[in-house]
Amino acid sequence: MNNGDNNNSLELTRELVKSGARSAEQIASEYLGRINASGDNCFISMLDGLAQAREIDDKARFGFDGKLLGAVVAIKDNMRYIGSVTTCGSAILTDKDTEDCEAVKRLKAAGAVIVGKTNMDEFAMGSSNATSAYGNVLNPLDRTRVPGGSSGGSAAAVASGLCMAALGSDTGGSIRQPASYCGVVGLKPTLGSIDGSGMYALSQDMDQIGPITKTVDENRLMFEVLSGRSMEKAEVKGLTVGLVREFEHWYTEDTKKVIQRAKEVLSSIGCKFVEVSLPSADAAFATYRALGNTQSANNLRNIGSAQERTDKLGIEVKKRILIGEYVLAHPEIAERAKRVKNKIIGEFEKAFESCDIIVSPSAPSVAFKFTDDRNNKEIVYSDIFTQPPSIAGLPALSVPCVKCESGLPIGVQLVGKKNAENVLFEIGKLFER
Amino acid sequence: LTTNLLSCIIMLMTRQEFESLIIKANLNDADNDELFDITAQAIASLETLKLYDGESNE
Repeated sequence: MNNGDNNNSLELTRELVKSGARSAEQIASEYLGRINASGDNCFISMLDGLAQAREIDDKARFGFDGKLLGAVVAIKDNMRYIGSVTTCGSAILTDKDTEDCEAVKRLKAAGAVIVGKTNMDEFAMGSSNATSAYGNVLNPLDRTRVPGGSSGGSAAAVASGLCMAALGSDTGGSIRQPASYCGVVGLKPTLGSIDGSGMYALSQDMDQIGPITKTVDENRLMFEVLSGRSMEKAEVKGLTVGLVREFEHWYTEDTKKVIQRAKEVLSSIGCKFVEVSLPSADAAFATYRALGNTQSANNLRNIGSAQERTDKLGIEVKKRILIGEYVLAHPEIAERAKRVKNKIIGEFEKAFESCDIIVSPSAPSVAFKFTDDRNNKEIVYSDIFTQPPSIAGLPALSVPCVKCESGLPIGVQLVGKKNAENVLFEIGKLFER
Repeated sequence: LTTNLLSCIIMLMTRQEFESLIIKANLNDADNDELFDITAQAIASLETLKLYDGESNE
């Protein structure tokens, strides 16, 4: 679809369908054709998209005008959709869903056409999409590289125009990191701001559904629909922007460019920069590992027999279950992790006493190449900037920021105070100019 | 550097404990050497928490 000057394909589609200039069925049919022609393995299964579109056209003729009227949307395959098998990227789940998850209900109520369920790391455990039982998703910007994960199918589908928007889920970076790798916009909203009922939980204390889109305006609209909140316009001129001292030792020549561009963009509207400190930031990974894997082990405990689990679960999932079991057997580790989690939360609260938003790269590198090396540093450390705000339950938006020498993008991560998504959207738009 | 060193030099999990975890996890992977190795490394990395846990630093 040619968007002309409008950078919100969702609004444009709504106008076209409302006016009768195009039908939701025509639009959905175009996208389905593109999906069928794509070889990037973004989708695990397709849904009844054309039937949904016809129903929306019927309703539109009688005045129905949802905010996402006719919008072509995909959902990550850890969200239940009635009649489909929600696989979570695993071979072990085969039962059909008996109802929609809450996020799907909201999308349907707003008039969206949900075309398919996107590929993902198995049980959302991974940062490359290479742990899916359904094969690798290819990054459409460079097919020798990963799209990121775990919401890699959603990010790649949006980036290659196979849908207008997609839902991902983010526990430690699973929306923001693939958004950075694929050059799209991804939001992890404030913890709890979108109802996750009906989504398979990885770690319910950190899991959050969020939208992935091409533009910030589209992301804002999706968030409004999913959260039921209206995003008031925020005044962002002259805000104070925090740069995290403890992140600096991770910076590379590429990620320094992200900070440089952020300074240029935000200085142009009178923002000033201050250094803030998150002394426990480097413990976020171990904290996430201890607390998140304990919940994962419990969440997956009743899935499959011993032989099915042995045969069908991937090694990354088994590893995380075992870590969880280890922590359950050593409760002092969980207690220690909870204390460190509280320290990280306190450090963010202190940092936000001296700034309005915190800016960092979304990822420490561009998308990396497919590899069999599980200890590859690019995999192990790909969430270093996204995990600390996840542990604190803060909203964080990744927006494409720079193109590196390789021609690949890195996003800027904008972290806000709780429920300050409107500030993040206003700031994020500045990076699109 | 500290985290990496800890991960390299501390292997907290014995093979016996691994086998016990395998049973708790309802898996039949007690002989899976690769799984043992990557799990042991991951568990060693949890030692990092001690460095940041001011209330009970040992």
